[in-house]
Amino acid sequence: MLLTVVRDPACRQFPAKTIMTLRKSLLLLLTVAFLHTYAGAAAQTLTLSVKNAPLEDVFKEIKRQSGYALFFDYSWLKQAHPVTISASKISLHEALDLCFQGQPFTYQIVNKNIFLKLAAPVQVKMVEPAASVQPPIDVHGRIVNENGEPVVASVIVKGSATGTTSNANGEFQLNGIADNAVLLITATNIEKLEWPVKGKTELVVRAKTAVNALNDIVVVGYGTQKRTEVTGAVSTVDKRLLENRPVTNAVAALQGTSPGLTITRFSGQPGKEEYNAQIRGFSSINGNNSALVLIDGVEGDLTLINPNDIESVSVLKDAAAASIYGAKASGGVIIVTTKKGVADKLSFTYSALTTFNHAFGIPKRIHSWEEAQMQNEAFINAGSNPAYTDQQIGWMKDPNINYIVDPVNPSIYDYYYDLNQVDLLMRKTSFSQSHNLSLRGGSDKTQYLFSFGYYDQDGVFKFGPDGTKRYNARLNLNTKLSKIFSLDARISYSRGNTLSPSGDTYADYGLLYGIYQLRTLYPVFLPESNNTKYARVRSGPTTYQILKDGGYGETQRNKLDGIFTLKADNIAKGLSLRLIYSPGLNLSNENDFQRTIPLYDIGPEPTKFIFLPNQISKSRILQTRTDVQALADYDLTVATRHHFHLLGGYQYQYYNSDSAGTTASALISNDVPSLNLSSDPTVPPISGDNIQTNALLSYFGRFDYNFNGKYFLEATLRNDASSQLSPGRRSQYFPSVSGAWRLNTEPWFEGLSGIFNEFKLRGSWGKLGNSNVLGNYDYISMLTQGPVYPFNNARNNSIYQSVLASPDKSWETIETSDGGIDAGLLKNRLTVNLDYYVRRNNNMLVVLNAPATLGLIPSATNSARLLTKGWELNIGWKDRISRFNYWINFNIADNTNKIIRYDGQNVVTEGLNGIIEGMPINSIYGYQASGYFKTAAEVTGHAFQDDRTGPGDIVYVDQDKSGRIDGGLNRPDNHGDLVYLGNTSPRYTFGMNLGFEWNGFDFSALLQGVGKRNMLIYPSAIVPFVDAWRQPWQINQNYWTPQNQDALFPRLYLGGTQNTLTSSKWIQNASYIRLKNLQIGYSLPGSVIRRLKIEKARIFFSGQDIWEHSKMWYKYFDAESPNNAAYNYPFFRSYAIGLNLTF
Amino acid sequence: MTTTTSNKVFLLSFIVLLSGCSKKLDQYPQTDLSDHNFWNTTNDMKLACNYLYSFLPDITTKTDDDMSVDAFAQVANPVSNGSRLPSSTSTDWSNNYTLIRACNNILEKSVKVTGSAVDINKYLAETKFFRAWAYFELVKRFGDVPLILKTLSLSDTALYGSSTNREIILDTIYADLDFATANLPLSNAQAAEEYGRITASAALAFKSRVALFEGTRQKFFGYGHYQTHLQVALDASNQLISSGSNGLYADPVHPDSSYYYLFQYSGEGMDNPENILVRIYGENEINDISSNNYTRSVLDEGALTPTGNIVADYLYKDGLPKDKSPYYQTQTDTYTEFQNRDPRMAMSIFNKYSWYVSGLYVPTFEYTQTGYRSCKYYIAADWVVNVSYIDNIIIRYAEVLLNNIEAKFELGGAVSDQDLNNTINLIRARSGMPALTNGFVSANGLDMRSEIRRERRIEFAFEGMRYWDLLRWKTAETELPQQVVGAKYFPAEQGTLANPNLTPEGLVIVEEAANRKFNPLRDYLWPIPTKEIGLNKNLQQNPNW
Repeated sequence: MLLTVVRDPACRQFPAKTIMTLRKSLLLLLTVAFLHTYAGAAAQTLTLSVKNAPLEDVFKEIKRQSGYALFFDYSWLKQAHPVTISASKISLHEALDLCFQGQPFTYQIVNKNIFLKLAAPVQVKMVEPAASVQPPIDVHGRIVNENGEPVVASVIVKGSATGTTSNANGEFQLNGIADNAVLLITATNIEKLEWPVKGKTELVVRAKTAVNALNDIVVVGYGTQKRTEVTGAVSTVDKRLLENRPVTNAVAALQGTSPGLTITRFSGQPGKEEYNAQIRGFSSINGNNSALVLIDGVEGDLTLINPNDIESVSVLKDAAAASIYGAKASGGVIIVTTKKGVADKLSFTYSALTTFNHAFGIPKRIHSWEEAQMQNEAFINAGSNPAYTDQQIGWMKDPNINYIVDPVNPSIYDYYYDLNQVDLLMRKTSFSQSHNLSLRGGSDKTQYLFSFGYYDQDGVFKFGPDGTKRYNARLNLNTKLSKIFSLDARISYSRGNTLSPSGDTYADYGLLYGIYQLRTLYPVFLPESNNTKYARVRSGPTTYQILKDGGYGETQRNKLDGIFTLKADNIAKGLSLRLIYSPGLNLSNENDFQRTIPLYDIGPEPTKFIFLPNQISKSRILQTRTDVQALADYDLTVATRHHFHLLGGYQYQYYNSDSAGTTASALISNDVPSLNLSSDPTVPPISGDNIQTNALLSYFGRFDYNFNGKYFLEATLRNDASSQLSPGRRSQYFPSVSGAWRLNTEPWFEGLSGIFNEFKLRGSWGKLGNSNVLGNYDYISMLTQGPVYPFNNARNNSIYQSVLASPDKSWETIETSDGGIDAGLLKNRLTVNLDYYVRRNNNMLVVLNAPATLGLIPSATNSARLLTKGWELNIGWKDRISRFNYWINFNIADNTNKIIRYDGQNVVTEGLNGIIEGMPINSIYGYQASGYFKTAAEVTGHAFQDDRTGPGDIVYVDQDKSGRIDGGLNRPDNHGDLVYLGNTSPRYTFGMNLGFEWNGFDFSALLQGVGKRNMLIYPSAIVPFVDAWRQPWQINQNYWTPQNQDALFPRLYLGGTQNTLTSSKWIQNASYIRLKNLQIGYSLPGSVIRRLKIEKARIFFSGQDIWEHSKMWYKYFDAESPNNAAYNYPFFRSYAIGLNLTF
Repeated sequence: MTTTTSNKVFLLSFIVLLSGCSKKLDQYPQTDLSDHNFWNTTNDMKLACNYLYSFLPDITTKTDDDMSVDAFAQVANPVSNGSRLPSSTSTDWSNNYTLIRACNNILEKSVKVTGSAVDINKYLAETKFFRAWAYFELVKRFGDVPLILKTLSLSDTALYGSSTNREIILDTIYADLDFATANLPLSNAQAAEEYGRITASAALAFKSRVALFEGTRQKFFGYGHYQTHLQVALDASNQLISSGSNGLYADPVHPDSSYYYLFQYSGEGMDNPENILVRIYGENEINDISSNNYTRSVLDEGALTPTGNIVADYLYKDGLPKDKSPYYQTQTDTYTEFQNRDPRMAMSIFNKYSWYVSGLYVPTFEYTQTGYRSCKYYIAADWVVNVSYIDNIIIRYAEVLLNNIEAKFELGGAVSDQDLNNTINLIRARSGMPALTNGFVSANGLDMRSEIRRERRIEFAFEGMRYWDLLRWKTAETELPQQVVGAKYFPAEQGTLANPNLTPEGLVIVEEAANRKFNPLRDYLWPIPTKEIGLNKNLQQNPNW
């Protein structure tokens, strides 16, 4: 510690006018004349240099540097004498000790609040002492917020100097006060409160959480900022939206919470939902454009983290906010911070959630004879003989005849059942539960949080392996090693265990396809076998058999992460350093067992097998990550108004994925799936391994300048060098600049200050990289192992080159300009954020459409440019009417993209077109449908479509009047009759959350949706009998006949692919609105639960995905399904009952 | 620890950290090969050549017969009935260029290889065979195509070049095959463990196929110098025949049914001299390297079913066709038409006295539109497990014999009885059919060309040859627009059809003639995938597509 007395002329130059405006804003914030609160940015060490300064000024400085708020009675300052201090790198305690030397005060620090107390009780005369006829009383009180949580606050008897602060349990004691006294209760996180004692000696003071959201601390790249100081486009997600949700994981909980953040999922299969989080839509045609997820500063996995461990989530959307993360941040950044321990006595929280899941969107099947009749019609229309005779159809209808011995082949049965296997196999309701336990506490020196989470979800199938479990454990520990050094250790372990049936559940020819689309006339078991033998069925479903006896697929993910931060505060004046070491370990075990299932006809021997030979595959993937960061922060204030912050950093990231797998087949035992049991030693199990590594070395810096809380300027520069690029092309700079102007701090704005509490303009520009789409060794000419060939009945390996090497490749650089407004109105109850942005991917990697004469896949080259424009709006309202506390937030975002350069040949094909110059990504081209042909004459009079075309088929418009329906030359200048039918990117994604709290009751709802999206459906699933075995659903019964010309579907036709071409007929408008979450809770009154030694008890109902409305006319697919989806694992409606307890 | 010491420790760790990690940016593949560490030994060449074998036609290419009227799948074939439209992409185009690139890559990269010249040339010869193979697959479909003889990069102008005249491509094919012939062993000189690799016999046999295709095509379409190509076909087949490296299969246990057992497991391997070029599947369920589902998924489920059209063309056992033979009789049950026929008919098509999966075959229309089911390559034992390891014979010696006699006939307009005895009659004798002679032809008012062609149709029934023969003979325009029929309808035997559409003779009509078209100005060449034309402006679409 350095302590000298110096003269500081800057102190004298503090202009009176600034003090005035400062005071005004303080008045605004606090609205109390004699109580003063200071809140400021966090900084752990202080540097003070004042001479004969009023104590008030010193307090200002302390609050600015430390971020701690001070509470005291303004009148006390009259007794204070001026201070002279010159000290650098001193702790807060030391600074306060210096200030209070010889002063009549002492202080107490609780949770970033400094509460002043008079050193000795001072007898203060009451305003009307004569009026008080009652003797003074001793009061014991407890301050709680609307959630029943204790509040640490300053408690002062109004009009006196008597005061105290409540402790961590919210409790306080005031002795000898008037029985009609009024208590003034203040703290930064609650609204100011006056509470009359009314002679009671036991008080429960109900405080209300403050709504001044604009003063929130926002987590940004490598640090935090006050909401008012943020210059980039950053939104934060309310922790409340993540808690107590019956969702699979944290990504699911983020859906709809933040404008511009689009969460999509692929299926409802537990543990295999394949969530993707995209910020502001496409930044590239490559990869999944997902956001970079950082958990406590290092890359993490949102699907494995315990949602209850999350303290805050920041979404960095524009280049200025994200560019500090450089080459990986093109998709934006989601920063997750986990909860920390508190310097308080141990508290214990338990929450439990029991959920009932109800699958929806399952196709409705029809009776076997209805299928058969339709099949006959399809066969006849296609010129074939009908498949079933009237007698056979009669047997299907007859419940007494389900099978006959085949008249020409006595060894087999012919089946005439009517068995809807959807009902047989799929549950109406499945079950999931979660339990979370956390312990929090600590002392001034050391704080800890330990949490344990358990989540368990069953799938939709009534039996068989189908479900997922997750276990989370976390220990966050921070401890102060010395005055300068502190250590923060965050260790988390998670284990996800997903069991699924053998083979794919979804997709064509998967298990759901089997029961959704194959014939219902087949049984599961062989008749007269007493349900002991499975029947062999021709092109019939085998889902039952595979679920019950076909083995399993098992995925276990074990993830162990540690983040160790050694921090040195104020190691030199204004300078603090952080050294972060984060090892990560991810071990995935995948085991796949295909068990042989015999199927029978009449006769003792099986006539067919599923999964023959049986087979066990095991793979072990060990992924290790090393992330080392060194960060330096430097704070400097010049002339009190010029605030500078510098951040310098170094980061090295190394990833290694080492996997090995073995497959053994024809095992001796059908029930012990072990690699040891390969039946023939001459045919050893097949093994393979794969090692992938990459490294990224980065330097970065950020410069922040803040003029008096009015003008803000920020600039960042990052250099990344990646092992994935060829030497000489490895390193690249990613710069950004941004600025903000708080108009409300200008004198001329005062007229509007009654309406606007905050009005900030923001602007930014920056460059980001997209390295996610690079392969690890793209620049090296790699050889691939081809198929084995059985010369001499041995496995003869083969080697070939499958892709062109690309030594000239570079990562994509994405430039974003963003302009935004942040406003707080009507006492900050109304907040508005608006952003507009333009984003250019200047050297997008594309695989050029090369003629097939090239002979292999060309590698991607940086030869396209993508332009994205979009906007986001967030409007929030929070208020309280008496004890009714409510809020509503609405967010909406939109963006459009266009490929503005493509060096390859543009090709326009029917269906999805990834890239065409001048068009958006994933443009759909197809034929314009125009009703159905009514007569044969209409067919011959129309342009030639297909030899099969007849009445009842879809009419395609002959756009080019060529007399033939085709795609022309499939070029932009000649694509025949193909027309643009929109693109698949979602537009107008929106979310709305609203809620209230009242007398222990709480309610919240989250609505989420998409305003516009075009969706393609897998054609074979739409139109029955594209293959003979693809059966119709209830919806398909509305098909064209001469009597039903306005039908939903064209005429039935075997192999009727003339109707499944991409056309306007089948494109769905997949816009929707969905009630994502609904929560109703009740917190038991404190008087009831305190007797049980419980601090807080809340019971609640939480519903997920419980209602939606979509514009799709084809209702069997959910509007959230991906394109060309069919037979997807259904999504669930979840109804949950939960409990939160804090001891 | 004092503050100053800890400061130093802290700063020191900073420095260690910064310097320690900076050199780790060089990462190399650890589990994959790259050009840098390959192409050194002849074994590397062998590994590269092994990849080429994955391009050998798999057994499902036998369903090429669905493009003719000799076979029918569950639904009508758009090539056969002339309804297809140009597609935007096609593996018939792209896969062959993938193979050509792989070949060119080996030819270029192998200059680095050191080893015995014999071995190096052997693998170069295999490579050139495959390049010739790919080009013929392209030419027979598309006619003129771009000729690429080196590996291209994205910036090569050759990538956007125009098509090369087929004559030049054929010369390249011949040259490649001559190199292969010169540097590879004949079938009978091949080491047992090498069985399945390309031989000089395969190169010669393939050359006769290519040259016969082009020779007859030029003759009947009237362009070029067909004699040159026919002479090449004749020379190549003569060279192979006179080498004695191959012969017809004779089953040691059932010599009368050799033709049947040729397509069963007993016909597999190098002990069968008829196998000139095969795609190997192997070995069995335990050692499952590569398998097919031909028995169940193709033959049994009706993806390739014989038609009444080819059934009508089988000779009777006296060597006479249906309209001339006294053996012909009106059908009274499903078996009548098998009686007194060319024995190959019952060895190619199931009848009610054929052994089926687990008993005698029951004629049916289930999973067969025609009511027939082929037993060629049908392995009863594989039906239950639906996995088969039967090899696909791509070129067999019988073809060389028939190539030889046809080339000779088309070149000279006549063949001697000796010529016939050296070729066709060997095949007929194996099947138990009487010899074909000039005298027999003239005595019965037959026509030698038709009989040579009929022999080809019958011998190679359901082996995927017919459509390509029709193209080169220029007879597709008369053969393909015919009505496609199935078996005669006998409900008591085959089970009832709900609404049978029958000919006056009672045959099931599978596809009406009215639905079948062949445009001679268009359909003799296939349409080039439209995407390729879109990508390469110098590429011309074939006429009228």
